[in-house]
Amino acid sequence: MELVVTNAIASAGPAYSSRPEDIGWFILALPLFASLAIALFLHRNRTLTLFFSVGGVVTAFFLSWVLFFTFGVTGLKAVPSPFPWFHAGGLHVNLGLAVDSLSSVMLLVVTGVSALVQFYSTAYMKDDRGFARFFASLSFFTFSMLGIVLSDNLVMTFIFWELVGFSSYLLIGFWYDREAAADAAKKAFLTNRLGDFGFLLGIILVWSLTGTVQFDELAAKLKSDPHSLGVWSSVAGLLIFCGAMGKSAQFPLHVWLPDAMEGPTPVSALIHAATMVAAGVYLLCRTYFIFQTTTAWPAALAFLGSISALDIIAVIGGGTALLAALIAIQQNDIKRILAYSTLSQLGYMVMAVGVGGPDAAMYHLTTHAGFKALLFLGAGSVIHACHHEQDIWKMGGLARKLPVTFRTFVIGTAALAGFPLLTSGFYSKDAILVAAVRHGHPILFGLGVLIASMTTFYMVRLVLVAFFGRSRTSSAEHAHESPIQMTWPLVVLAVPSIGLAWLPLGDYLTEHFFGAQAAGEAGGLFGPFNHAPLAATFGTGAIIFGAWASIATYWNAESDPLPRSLAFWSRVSRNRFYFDEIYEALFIPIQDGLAAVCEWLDRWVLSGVLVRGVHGTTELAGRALRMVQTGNLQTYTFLFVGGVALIILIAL
Amino acid sequence: MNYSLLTVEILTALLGLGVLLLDLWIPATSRKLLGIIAATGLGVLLVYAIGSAAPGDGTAFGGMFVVDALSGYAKGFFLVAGLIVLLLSIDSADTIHGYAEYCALILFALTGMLFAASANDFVLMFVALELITVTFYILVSFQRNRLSSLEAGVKYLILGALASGFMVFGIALIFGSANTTNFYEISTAQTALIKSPVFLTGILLTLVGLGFKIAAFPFQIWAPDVYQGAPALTTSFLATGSKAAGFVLLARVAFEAVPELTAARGHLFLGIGSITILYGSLCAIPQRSVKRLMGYSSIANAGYLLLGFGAASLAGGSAVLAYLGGYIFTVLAAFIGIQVVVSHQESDDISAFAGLARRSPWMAASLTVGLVSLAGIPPLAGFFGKLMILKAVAVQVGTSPMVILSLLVAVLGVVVGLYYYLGVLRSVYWPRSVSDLSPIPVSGTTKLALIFAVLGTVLIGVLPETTYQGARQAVAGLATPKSPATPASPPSATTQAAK
Amino acid sequence: MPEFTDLLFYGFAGLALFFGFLCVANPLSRSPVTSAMFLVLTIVSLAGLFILLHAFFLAAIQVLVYAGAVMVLFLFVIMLLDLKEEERRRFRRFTVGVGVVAVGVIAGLLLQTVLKAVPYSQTSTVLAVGATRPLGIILFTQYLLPFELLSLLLLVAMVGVILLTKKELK
Repeated sequence: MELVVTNAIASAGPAYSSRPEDIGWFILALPLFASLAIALFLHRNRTLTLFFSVGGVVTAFFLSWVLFFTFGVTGLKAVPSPFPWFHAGGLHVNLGLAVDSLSSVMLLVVTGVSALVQFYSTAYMKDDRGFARFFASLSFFTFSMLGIVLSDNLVMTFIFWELVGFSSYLLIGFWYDREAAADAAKKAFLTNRLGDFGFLLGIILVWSLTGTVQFDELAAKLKSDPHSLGVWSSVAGLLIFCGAMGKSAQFPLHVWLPDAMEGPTPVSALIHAATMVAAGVYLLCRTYFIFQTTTAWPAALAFLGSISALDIIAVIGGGTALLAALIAIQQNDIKRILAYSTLSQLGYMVMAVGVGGPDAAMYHLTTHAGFKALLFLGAGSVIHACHHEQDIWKMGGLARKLPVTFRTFVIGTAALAGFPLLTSGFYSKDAILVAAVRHGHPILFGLGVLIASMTTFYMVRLVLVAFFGRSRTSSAEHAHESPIQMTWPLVVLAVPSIGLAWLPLGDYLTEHFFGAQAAGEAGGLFGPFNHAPLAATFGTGAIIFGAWASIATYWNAESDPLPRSLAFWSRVSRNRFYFDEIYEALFIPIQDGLAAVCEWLDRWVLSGVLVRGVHGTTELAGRALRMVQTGNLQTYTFLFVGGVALIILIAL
Repeated sequence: MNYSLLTVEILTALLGLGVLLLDLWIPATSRKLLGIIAATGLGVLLVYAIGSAAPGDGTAFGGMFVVDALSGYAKGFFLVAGLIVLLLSIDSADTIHGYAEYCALILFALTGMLFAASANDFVLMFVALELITVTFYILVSFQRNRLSSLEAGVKYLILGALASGFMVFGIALIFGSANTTNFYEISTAQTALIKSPVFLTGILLTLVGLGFKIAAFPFQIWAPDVYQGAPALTTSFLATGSKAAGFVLLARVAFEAVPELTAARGHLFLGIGSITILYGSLCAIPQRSVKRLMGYSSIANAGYLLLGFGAASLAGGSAVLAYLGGYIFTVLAAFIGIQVVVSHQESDDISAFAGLARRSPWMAASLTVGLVSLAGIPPLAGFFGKLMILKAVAVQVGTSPMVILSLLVAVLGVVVGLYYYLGVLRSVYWPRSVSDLSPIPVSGTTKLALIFAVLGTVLIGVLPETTYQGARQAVAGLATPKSPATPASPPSATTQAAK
Repeated sequence: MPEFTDLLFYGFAGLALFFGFLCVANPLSRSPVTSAMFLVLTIVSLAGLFILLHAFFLAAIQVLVYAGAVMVLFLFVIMLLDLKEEERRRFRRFTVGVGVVAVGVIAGLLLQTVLKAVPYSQTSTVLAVGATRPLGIILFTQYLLPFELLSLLLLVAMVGVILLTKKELK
């Protein structure tokens, strides 16, 4: 019966009537339609632009709930409605949507954050002359991102993958009259492309070896014959990971992300919180079954022995998380702190996949999307209020001037730090630490705890310096709360930062990856302390230590008039002194040293060799080769005849 | 004999003659009319060619001229290319001296391409190629008041004559060893023939001539100079029609005449393809002239297409043809933007494109679609073609390190390619300094050409099935015998001569 | 034991090569007219080769059209252009060296190919007697299509020449 329906659809084209899974096509089409309508017809009319753009994504958001309740919650497997796309060598590639519990959660995240970012942008971009262009690009970006989420095969994923890259190029370089913005856009695009080629090779490899690119078929094939990838299984996994490295900004392809802050702040929120950077982690989770195949290396890489692709991924993720956290501590630009924090959290998620916890990675991705969007939009509100000032040392005392921003920002900070029991970040971070312990990675577990501590440290520092103390500049002095369109998305985003903690989202995701019997044990508000006390205790300890260190260091970094602070100051002065000693003796040189090394790596080795190096060496080679191209006809003739001789010589 | 198989070719040639004659009666003030007539005529022919593609295959002139899936596939694209170039030329009707001749020559070159698509014999292949090449000698040096145009013409003429010389010598060697020049007859005897060094040399020298047309290493040396020197309109046709004709003939020789040789020497194609990609990609980087850049880009793309031959499989061959179809639209989309800027600014330096996005959004869009597709970004045609070619090569990944090497080179080429294509786009959208922001007017005919080119690029990328299916049938059809079955065909010349 | 025709073949072939070399690189004279005259001799030698192949018509055409008509045109052009520059230009050792190497390598490779090849024992010694009638029959039957296409090619060449040399196009 089902088959008949599918065939009818395949032959008769779209027939949306009775199948709820086809709502996915609507979700996908709405932002695209909005984008095209704005770009082609409506760019002069602001009201209609907003109506289409915001209306499109909000409708998509509500439709995503429908999908979530129909397929996500019930665990029903959607029957794909494939449109035949092309045939290659007896193989049919279809255009289809993957609607399951994984994608339906991700749909909610993407459309939800997108909707809020668009609402927020209506105020933030109010005076920009590229208003319509901005919303057209934003809608197009959302469309591309939804495409990645919904694709049910690798080729389609790759197409949307590139569209995301391209639309982020448009968005980061939105203020094209700024040289830095154009450079950042180009850097983001090129760095991403480097990773994408690995991804493309991976797709081609998997396709050639297994004969399919459809996720379901691929998973079934690998399940029935785990050796169908042969010696290339680990290489194929790592090549696919290359794509994730670019999009999710993993070392050494992370260089583009901090620079991408040149785009408008809502773009940063969208790109860095819920969408583009999360795509890499999502891809790893989507293709997790490829990594579960047996470890095997071709002869040239045989020295890697039993080290699996996942091990390498875990180390790269952990390394990125540590590196980014170290750099974040030394930053003063509010958006850059958040950017490095994003890098660090992405590293965390990638590490989670690497240690065998894709459910934990997805969990953290979901919670992180909420509170990181909150933090970025909060930062945007601060920047907006301070007349585009981004240096936190030129702020101060904003807590009372921007009450809504402040409160929501603190909630976001608490969630990012992983404040126990109350915030969603605690539970998702705990899931990652548990995964590291369970699968026998004690070093990575320690690294995770250390990073959690550092995260708390720099976030508390940010809050203290920017919101507390004295207003250090006149722009901070005269700051006013942002308009309602900008504050209420913050309030809305603050809800999941806390509220997600009470939903069994973790179990839900575990069930998707590992079946129903694995889920359920982590449930309950105090679950983490019950079922894995070690991880939860260490996590909590890390947060307390980080917060204490930060407060001890930065509280009253400048004299503060409030008596309450003075009282606090006298109470902890000795401690502070004590900590200052340690800090100066230990942290500053080490941090400075490490940060300098990282900075150096970042600036010279990575951007130098990888980004400029591609440019530099190719330019050199280009010039050398061009010497052949003299323009002299005799030379040309000689080269031609020489070529003939060469070809005959080789071929005979 | 079934002369109706040649309808499209004959009508195209007649259209060219008609345009030449009409010039006598049409006043100098309304030269545009000639272009419009030529384009309309070609449009009708295109519709006819697509409509009549189905009525079965056949051969004419003793198996020399063949109508099959490949010829039908290729002719559609050639006609589209000719149509777009003619549409684009209408704007320049008053600035080109001898516009009627220009249109007629485009149509004659197109006739050559149409014959090339149906050539099933080395002799007809040679004559068709010469018709194309000789026409292009003139089209390249058409702006004879510009020294660079003349210089390009002379370079193309001398190197082209050299290549033709090698080719005709190769054909003589083939005839000497195989006693026939018919592709099908050669294919029936190929197993024995490819062991003969004389035959091999003959095939190689023929490939030299084709390598020149498609600008493959080491015969690519002319392309940048000629692309840069020639009028932009000519370059656009040279980069699409002429190059595609070379590839279609290469496909015929490689997959119909000597498929066993192609399979045995696949690595030669992979090697040459890889070097060609490297050469084109690396040399393109320091370029400031966009036309020259397109010359190098054209070399690099020839390399990708050659990789498809290296795969030496049905998948490889169909990937080549699918790529070629998308490539024609892609390059034309890019050249529409280039042509308008060059004719407006009289310069093709990257700086001449500064701020094009604000001066003419139409042209900027066309150029962007073209360059982005060339850079291989989905979902445009360029991506799909590269994907299919890489896929066809990757299937043989276990067989030899050469396969892996060429895959890596291909990927490197795409990264580098992205770099220089973005360089142009950056100037279009994010100019460092703009001196002139006056809008560039775009005529209706140019817009029409633009819509054809952009739609083709997007559609082939998004819905590749039709193209890919056509390409598959075209390559599969090459394996079927094409003997001169018609009893009405002329008796063999040898028997006649013996009387 | 080589037959007489074989000797003639080597004779004409050698002469063609020798005159051809003198045509492009005459060490004694750089006059274009001398070059043109050696070209005439080359063409005549080639005509001899055609005769050995029984292609009498082609041999006659070779002499009539190429050695006769085409060469007269060449000489007109040389005289009209007054090519004294060319006379004065010296050989550059590099150019000559490079040219010799290129030609040498190609010649060597082709020679090697020919030597490797199994001598072709052609039973049907004469493919087509090169008289006018059989040639005409071949041209208008088997090769009718390329032959007709050549007319278009010639038209294109004519149009091109007129376009590129016409004094001022208005």
